[in-house]
Amino acid sequence: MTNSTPPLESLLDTASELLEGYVLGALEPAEAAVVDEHLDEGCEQEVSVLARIAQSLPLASRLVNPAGELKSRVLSAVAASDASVSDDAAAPTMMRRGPWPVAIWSARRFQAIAASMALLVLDGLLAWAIAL
Amino acid sequence: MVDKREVVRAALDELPYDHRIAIELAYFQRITQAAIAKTLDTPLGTIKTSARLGMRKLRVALEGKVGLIEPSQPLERSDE
Repeated sequence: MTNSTPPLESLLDTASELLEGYVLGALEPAEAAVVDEHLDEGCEQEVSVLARIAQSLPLASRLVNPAGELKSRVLSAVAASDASVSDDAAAPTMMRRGPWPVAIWSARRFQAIAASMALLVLDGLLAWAIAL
Repeated sequence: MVDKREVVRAALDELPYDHRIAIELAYFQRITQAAIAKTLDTPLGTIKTSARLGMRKLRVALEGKVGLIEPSQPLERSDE
């Protein structure tokens, strides 16, 4: 922690580097807060475009299949993530605010999607194993 | 007629694996980039860069395609 305030340009650069993670819902709350604070300073349009890209991702149903130990680590990380989001209030800021459709989905909906995607991954791995 | 799903699927297929997994784990599995970095045993900066580059490539691939992304919108804010 420091009491010095970074210059505005530095904060804007930092915010712009976080936008992709922001629309993907992958930022820590403190990082999402940095973006939130700078949406009115030139980031909003960029976030809107990036959010549309993120929203198009579910159109592609074929997902990468983590293999072996990586798969179990991913599933553990998902489980840990779900446990840390016990309710909507604990979700990252962007999931509770903003005009973007991706931002208005509830944490529970994300959890449902995550669970279904995890099943898709497992189904894919099973089919692959059977094919072998 | 171009199928939106095919366009997005093709765009994702074109991404390097590290870009794609950084995006998909974040969006579909809802894992933070910090957790992805830990899960993949990869530096956090690398995960952030992969997500950024992947999203940029997706943007280029999807721009002007089947109404997904308007082509006239700038890639980044302009430095003045």
